[in-house]
Amino acid sequence: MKIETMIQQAGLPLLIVAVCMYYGIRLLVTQDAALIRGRDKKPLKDEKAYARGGGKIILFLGAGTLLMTVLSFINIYAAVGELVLCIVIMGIAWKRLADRYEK
Amino acid sequence: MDKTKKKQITDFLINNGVIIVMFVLVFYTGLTADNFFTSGNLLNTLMNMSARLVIALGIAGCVITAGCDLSAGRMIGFGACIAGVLLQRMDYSGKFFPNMEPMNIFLVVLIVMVICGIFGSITGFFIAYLSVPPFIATLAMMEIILGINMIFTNATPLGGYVTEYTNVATGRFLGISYLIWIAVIVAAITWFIFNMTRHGKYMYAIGGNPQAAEVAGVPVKMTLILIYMKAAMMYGLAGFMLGAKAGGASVALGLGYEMEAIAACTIGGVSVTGGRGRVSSAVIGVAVFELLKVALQYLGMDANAQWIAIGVVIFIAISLDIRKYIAKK
Repeated sequence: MKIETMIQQAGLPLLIVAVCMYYGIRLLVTQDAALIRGRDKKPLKDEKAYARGGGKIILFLGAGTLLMTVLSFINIYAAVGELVLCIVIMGIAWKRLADRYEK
Repeated sequence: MDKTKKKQITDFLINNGVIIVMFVLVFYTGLTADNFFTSGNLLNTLMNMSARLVIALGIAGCVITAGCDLSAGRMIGFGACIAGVLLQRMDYSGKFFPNMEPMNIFLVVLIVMVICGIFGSITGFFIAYLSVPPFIATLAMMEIILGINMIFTNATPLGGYVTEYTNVATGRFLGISYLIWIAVIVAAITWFIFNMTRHGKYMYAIGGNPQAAEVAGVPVKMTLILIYMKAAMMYGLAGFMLGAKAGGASVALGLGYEMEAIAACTIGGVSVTGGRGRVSSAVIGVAVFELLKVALQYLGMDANAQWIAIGVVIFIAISLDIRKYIAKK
């Protein structure tokens, strides 16, 4: 498979990885929960900790997407399976984060 | 002039600036280009608008609750592919299911909407019950749909549709394309849901203040699931319509449509900060967008430069919406 074809196929997932990296790192650095939390939501016990937790989860999603991109060139079923597992873990982690830090 | 009135006029011009500029552009194009203000061109524009209006109406529900749906584009492609594999001619050499007769077209619409609705409800579950931000949840669903679609179609473009399917785009009733009629019916149903049902009231309540809505007894979680399920069903329908219009489908169909739909809703008056928006907002926004594209084509703008113009419009529309919200606060 040519490099150009690989870049074409992986273009959108890599963009998603870049978006996840941006938001994840920004959350970890600025610790601003408002970045991912809408207005008028339940108040948080510890906004900075919530932001850090959210940043780690988003980075995890980005890493999962990157792995999916690599796997998609080897076995598409494994790639989709890995992505589904990654998203389920992300969902559970986010629920636990919300339960821990929401008042 | 009274200072308050002057400020009101200034605010009106700024808040509706995009729509005003679009109308000026359309008017200018009509004066300078032949065949712009013709019934044929108008009907073509309405046909192009129809699928995008259905998408915008679906996304409007998500935006009204201060969410978004980045999976719309992929869901459209998925819907088009599902419809495509079920409606191929028997004599088509590349038929996906060689031994399967093409199904009834209404049944196929139902299947597409149900399958997309299931994925939409999963997205809604992640947002409502697992508290995942809509941006992240819909981004994740976008990836899943992409992967499933690639497995399902083996990344192969589809074609060879039965005449009944392509007739959805080419056929007319009372001189108007079926696609336009579908969009009108969907708009009417959406208007009814937004304005005449409890679910519609719940939507606006959640968009205004989700905490207050929950305290007031609104079933926030179930409403959110229904909103994303309904939206996904509309994307599936839009995919069906686009597949009929194109006469083919692929994994890439619908890519980027979600951003245009969000921008169209914002231009028309649906606020990305939540709690505000009507069906007419989506209609106006989509109309403005389509007229912009047609006007740019008539003015001879390079196709690649059109992307820049559309991007600038999206940027300005959302900036003005956020400006309105900040000014209100």
